[in-house]
Amino acid sequence: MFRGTKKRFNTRDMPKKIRYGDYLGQVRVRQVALSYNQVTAYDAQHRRRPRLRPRDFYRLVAPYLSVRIIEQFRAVIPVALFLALFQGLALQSHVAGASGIAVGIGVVMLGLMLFMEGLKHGLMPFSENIGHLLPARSSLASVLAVAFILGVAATFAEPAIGALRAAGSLTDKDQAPLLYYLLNNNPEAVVYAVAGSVGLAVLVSMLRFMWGWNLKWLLLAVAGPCLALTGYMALDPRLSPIIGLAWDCGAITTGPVTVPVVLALGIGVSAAAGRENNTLDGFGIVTLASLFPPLAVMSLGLYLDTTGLPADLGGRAAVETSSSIVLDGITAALRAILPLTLLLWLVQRYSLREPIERRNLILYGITLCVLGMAAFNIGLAEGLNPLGAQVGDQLSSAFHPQDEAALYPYWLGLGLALLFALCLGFGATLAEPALNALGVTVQNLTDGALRKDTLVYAVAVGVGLGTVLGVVKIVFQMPLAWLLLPTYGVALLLTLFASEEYVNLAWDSAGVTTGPVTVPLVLAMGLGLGRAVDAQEGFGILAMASVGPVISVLVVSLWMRVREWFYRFDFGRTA
Amino acid sequence: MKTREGNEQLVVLTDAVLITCIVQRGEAEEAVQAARRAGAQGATIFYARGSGVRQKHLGILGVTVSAEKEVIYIVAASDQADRIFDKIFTAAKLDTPGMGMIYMTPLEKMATYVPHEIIKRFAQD
Amino acid sequence: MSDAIPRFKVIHCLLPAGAATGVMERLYAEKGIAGSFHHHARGGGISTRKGRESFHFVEREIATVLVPEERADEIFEFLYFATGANQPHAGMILMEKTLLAKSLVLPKEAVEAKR
Repeated sequence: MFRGTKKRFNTRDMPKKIRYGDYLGQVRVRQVALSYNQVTAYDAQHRRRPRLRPRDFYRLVAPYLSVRIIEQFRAVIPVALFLALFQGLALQSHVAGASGIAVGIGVVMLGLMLFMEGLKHGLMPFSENIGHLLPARSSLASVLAVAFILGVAATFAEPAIGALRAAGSLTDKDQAPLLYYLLNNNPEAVVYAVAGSVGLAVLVSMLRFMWGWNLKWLLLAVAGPCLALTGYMALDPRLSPIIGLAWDCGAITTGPVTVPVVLALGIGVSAAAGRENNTLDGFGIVTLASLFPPLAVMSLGLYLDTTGLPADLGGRAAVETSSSIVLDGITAALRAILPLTLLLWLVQRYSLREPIERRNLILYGITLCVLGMAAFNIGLAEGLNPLGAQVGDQLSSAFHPQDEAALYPYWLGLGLALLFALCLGFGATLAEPALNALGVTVQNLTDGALRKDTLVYAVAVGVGLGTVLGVVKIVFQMPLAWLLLPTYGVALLLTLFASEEYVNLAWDSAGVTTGPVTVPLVLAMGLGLGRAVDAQEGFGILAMASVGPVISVLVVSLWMRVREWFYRFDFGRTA
Repeated sequence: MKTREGNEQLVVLTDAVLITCIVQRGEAEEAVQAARRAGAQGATIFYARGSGVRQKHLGILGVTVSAEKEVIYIVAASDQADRIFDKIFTAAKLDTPGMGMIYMTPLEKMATYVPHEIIKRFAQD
Repeated sequence: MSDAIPRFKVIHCLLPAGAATGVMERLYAEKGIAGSFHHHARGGGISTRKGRESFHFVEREIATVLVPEERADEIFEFLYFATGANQPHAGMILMEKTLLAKSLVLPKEAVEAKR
């Protein structure tokens, strides 16, 4: 049944030769051609918004929200779940206050989300601006001065230094008098020493950018004396307890607020110095900021040893806690972010004499940063820290008899504890905001050739392995130097073989880890273990967890070089 | 087309087009996968920044469009170009406002490494 | 038409990382072309190994040069040999037409001083 008219084809008009490419184009591709002139004309006349289909809406909104929520989910939930499950299954006890802890963890995720968003919109553009303009418009002396002050100010803002005092609560007055003195009677000396050394580190890094020093040789020049001093102090039983404190101080400096600011400054200065086309040239500051403090604290210990201690060291100093956790969290966040922001603003205003562009956006970003960090601190205090403390206290029950017999045979229990340490180090690192910030910067600088995830996972593996070594140190009560010197030796050896940009990156990412998520959890674990095995002091895990990533990232970089060399044998036209 | 310079030969490839695709940062991998499946030989990607659609068409939803973009260059033979173009368009969902854009420009000529055996085969024609 | 608008062609060079500065400097020193810029990118080619879904990415640079029409072929050849595009894994050179273009003109004093 045919309806309508049949079209008649005139066979003489039909083409006899059709180009195959054109034929394929007709068959496979359905395109409707429209002149852009018409589109632009239509746009100019009609100012209405186009109607969005539901799927358009989904395509726009879903990635925006999911990236922010799901990313934090993926970072934090594994650690929390892991801790809870471990406590429930392996240690065979239940988690106390589970609902409060769950709420706390949710707050941590919210805090991280807000903080990262605020960082992106507020702090990083601000500091990148300064990083670009400062070297161009100021003299070398003022750049160095700003660098030094920045380093010192950032260190004072770091909350983690206070956490070390808790670790010092194990210290015995008679066994380790010097350490006890430093932690209880004169803690300011340590803080000043660390702050000054970080300022000096930033200053030296600026000089490195200006004069083009190679990081590898600078590393050897700094790490060498550090390790030598460590070895010397290890031989003296009065001085050896200081080693753990010194290296742990180096591990905890440079936290989530300092890193982006210092990175941006470094990138700006190294771009202004304009030496090579190396995209990862701006790194290396965090490295030195992690190696100078151990030197400073060990020197402080040496100095105090030669000048002598007061005869009576007095009782243990009480650690003040305020009654409200919320207030604590907010003040800590303000203390961390506002001074730095103020400093940056002052520099921009008076040194550079430049008005701040897009002021509202930056204000919005900084507010988000403060809110995010406050929520993060509150959630940490309510959620992750109690959980970590519970697990840490009971961890030793897996293999070491306390009041009752151990839960498992010794080696199995010990293995379980080490596995726990590995997973804790790994999982906590994934949640670190500073490491995420570093990864994003690296990804931006290399236009995506080096992905954030690759870096984060490599570092997390390193931290996990380092944590295991730290736990071994505490359980078997080894002197820290025995573990520290070989691992740093391996790291330096790998450094010699790796390419300059990856050396920068590896040491920097190692310095960046051990931040506000890892430090309390790992310290809690160390304390619990230390108490159970009657250790002299609970330091050292952070130091080991800090050298692990150096090795893992350098190994990854070497593997990538091997893989790239291998690809040369693959024939393919590259575009 | 060949020209000589000293002892070296300059072999030039014709009938090529450059497909440029601009997507939001993070979406380039999908587009490049689709291009590869459609037959593309390679891609070059870099970051850029651009914010047109945000203010204009989407209103409040403009916040969800990131101003950070990735730009993808794909050099394709003109026979394959339409197909690659189509596949990238579908995979990167470029029909939704804010997702990006794609355009194709003709290349007058292009030069890259061509193995000697292949040059010889063409020389015989 | 002696005072016709000068026509330009655009040459893109996709180079391995670090090569762009040297090539652009040679271009200016030997051929006197100043209208060029370059930026960083990542790029990939297919691997002939089976089962590889995505490209393997390496760091690249893209250099873009604006050349007057009459010199286009000469500069194209120069770039081909300067970048070593006749070797594998060295990159690609592309040439496009433009409808309208205005290239970089150096101030006379700078050009005189260089001589």
